Amino acid sequence: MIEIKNACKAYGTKAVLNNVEFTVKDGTIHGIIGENGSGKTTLIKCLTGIYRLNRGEILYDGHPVFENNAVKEQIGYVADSNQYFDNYSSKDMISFFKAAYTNFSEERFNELNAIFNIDVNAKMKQLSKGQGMRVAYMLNLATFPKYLILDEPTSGLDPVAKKEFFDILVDEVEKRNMTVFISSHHLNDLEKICDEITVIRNGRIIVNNDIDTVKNRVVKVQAVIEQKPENLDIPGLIEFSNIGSIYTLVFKQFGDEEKAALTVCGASFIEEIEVSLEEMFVYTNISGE
Amino acid sequence: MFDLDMNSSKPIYQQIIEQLKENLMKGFLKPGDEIPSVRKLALELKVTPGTVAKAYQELEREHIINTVRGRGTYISEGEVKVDKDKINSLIAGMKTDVMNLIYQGYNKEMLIDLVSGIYDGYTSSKNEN
Amino acid sequence: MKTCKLLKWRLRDSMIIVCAMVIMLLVIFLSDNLVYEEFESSYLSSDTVYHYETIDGVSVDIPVSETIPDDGEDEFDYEKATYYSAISQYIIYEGFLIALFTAAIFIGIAMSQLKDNKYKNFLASMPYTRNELYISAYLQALIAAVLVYVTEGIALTITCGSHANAGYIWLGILNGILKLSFTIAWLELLAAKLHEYAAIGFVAASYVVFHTGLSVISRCLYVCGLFKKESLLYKVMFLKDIYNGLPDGLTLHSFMNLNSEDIFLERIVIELDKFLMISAIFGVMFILLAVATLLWGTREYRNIELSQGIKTYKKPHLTVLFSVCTVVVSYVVVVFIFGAVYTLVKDGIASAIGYVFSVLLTDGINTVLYGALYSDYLDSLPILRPYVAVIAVMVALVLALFVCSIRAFQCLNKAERMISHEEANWTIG
Repeated sequence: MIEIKNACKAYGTKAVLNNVEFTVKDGTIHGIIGENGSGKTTLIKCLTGIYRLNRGEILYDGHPVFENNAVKEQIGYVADSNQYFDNYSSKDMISFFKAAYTNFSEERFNELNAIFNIDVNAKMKQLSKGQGMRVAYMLNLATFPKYLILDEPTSGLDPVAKKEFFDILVDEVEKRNMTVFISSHHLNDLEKICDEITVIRNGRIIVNNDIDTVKNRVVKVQAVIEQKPENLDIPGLIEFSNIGSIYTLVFKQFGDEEKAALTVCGASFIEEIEVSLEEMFVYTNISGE
Repeated sequence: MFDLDMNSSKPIYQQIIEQLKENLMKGFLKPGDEIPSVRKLALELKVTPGTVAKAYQELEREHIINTVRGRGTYISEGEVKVDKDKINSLIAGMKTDVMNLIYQGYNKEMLIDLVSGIYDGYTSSKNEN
Repeated sequence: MKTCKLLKWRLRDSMIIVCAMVIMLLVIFLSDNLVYEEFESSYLSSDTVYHYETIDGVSVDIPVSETIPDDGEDEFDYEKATYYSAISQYIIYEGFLIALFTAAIFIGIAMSQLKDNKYKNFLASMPYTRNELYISAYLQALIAAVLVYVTEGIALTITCGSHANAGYIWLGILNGILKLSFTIAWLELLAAKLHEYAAIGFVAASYVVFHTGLSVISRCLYVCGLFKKESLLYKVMFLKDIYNGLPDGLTLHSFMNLNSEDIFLERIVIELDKFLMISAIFGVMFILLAVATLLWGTREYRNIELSQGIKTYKKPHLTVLFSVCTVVVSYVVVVFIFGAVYTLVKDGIASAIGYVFSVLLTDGINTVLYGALYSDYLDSLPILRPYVAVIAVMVALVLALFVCSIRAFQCLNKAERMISHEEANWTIG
């Protein structure tokens, strides 16, 4: 379990993380969403022991991560761009990892490479972004980490590689109860694997919940309105559009009150439909939340 | 195996439950067959793991599937438990639907044909296999 | 084991230094041979007449190609003298090369440290503590510096060793160790978290500045006649070098007579006259610059959050003090005690004192002494005029200084920007 308690971090006087607090349970996949400058990268760097918090703590099963090799050995970290030695090949990196991690298994790396097919003799600087990411992924998985922290792992991957990536990730979580912390802009990717979602903005957590609850922050409703209504001024209505008399409306919440108000406007065949995580984001941003 | 309608008013988890039952009934799934794990199915169907978990929970409750830790999820062997309360509520619902159909002009033969046809539809492919 | 892997990577990364060393070695050998051959052919074939006066005031004119008859207590070995002239020229070249080379080395280290900076996040996320990372950085710097300076010592030894010139050998190696300890002390400051490449720049600039400054100042002092023949300082310095560098049988007395002080001064003043003021200014400026970089480095250092890194250094000024003490300790332990004791045992107290002084002023005095030694001979050489040699050294040193200073200031600016905009939690040495 990863516990982030009252985490604060500032660069000089500029506060980058402000009382960040949440928990990642064992065996779950926890997604984090935040734009550049939101503090997301800083948080990840604090999680991986690169930075030290000014206040608060980050605990892995009760142990702090900073300067703690025992904890760091259990954490795998795949950064958003290749951060390994330019002149080293994957083979060299294997040797490097082997020395640093007691649980490193070269056989496991090779097993994974049977799927990803990266040339182990190619130097890091010769690999593309996607290839570099895959190498990092394999190296870290080969340490059999208890925790895996991923920072924008799928940028630079083609659809096939992406699928392989997630298949393996889900497999590891199921088989070894690995805990995953993943940051991504691809909300549709996060949607199909995450149990919980955290949204960070300006160094603060604005959303932290299981993914279905997060999605339910908006409700998408489809209705038939035969006659074009004069105004659809229903409290809680964020947006609407229509094709002919079929209207798609997005609400902050949709209960009997809203349904009644909608009926008054002439709507019939009112149905709630599935909203995607991406849509939820788009709509909540529009509503100024 | 599953064909979900994202724009339907029927919740996704319910669609999963019903489609699995349908496939079972049609014989595409047999007792003992392994089905994808929660996460794997979520990935495949592009829905949240929570949604699949909810569907699987219900299916397990009805003893249609069972999960063996460390091995996987399987279609249950053995008979489906008879749930008397569920049967009663389904029949009550049917009564309402039949009444509405009668109002729409359905007579007894038409109703019988209708139910026959539906039943055959669910079971004929099974017989063919 | 894992620190070894880290060190292995670091060393692999600093191959540039190793390559530079090899090149240096080759250049030294080549230049030495070239210089000597040309000198030999031109010197021995020229019709130059050498003029000297004995103690008794007798003037003697000798064609350089002839040997002086063995009729007195004065003996003059032309072969050896020829050789030392060539060596002296070589020293000029060497000084030139070393200055450039030192700059190259530090830039090489700086570049590898820059690259190091690129990997700091990755290394920090690995199961390494900061101490483990610093240790490997230290070891890298140490190994690189040892390799470099021992090579320099060996190169000198090989070049001069065939003539059993113990002075050169010891001077070379101990000089190298002096530089090494200086380097380590500065790298200590670096690793104690001045932003890494800023500190490297400081090391480079300060080192060259320090060296150059002392060189130039000592030259000026000599030229200004502060080193008088009668003074103890003069005597012992020559004494040390003579006993270490000149062939057996040649006494100080006879040697002193060969080139009287007046001729020395006259020659050198004439040659260096134009450069005296500039030299003096440069010298002072360079020393001030060295001090300034030290102070500036300390200021930057204080700006950085210290509590992140090595637990030993909680207060920046203490770390700087520690670094300076390391330099002093290195001086004391390695140079003074060992070298002085050796000289004391071998040559007596006067030599030992002379040794201490000469080491203090290292290459500066060397250059002056050698200039004094061979200025007579060089005059007749078509190859290299003294002032040309001096210009060459000055230019080289100034070039090296500018290169390193520019780098240092660039690094400082970047460090300052980084401190204000990004976190300054930790740096990797």
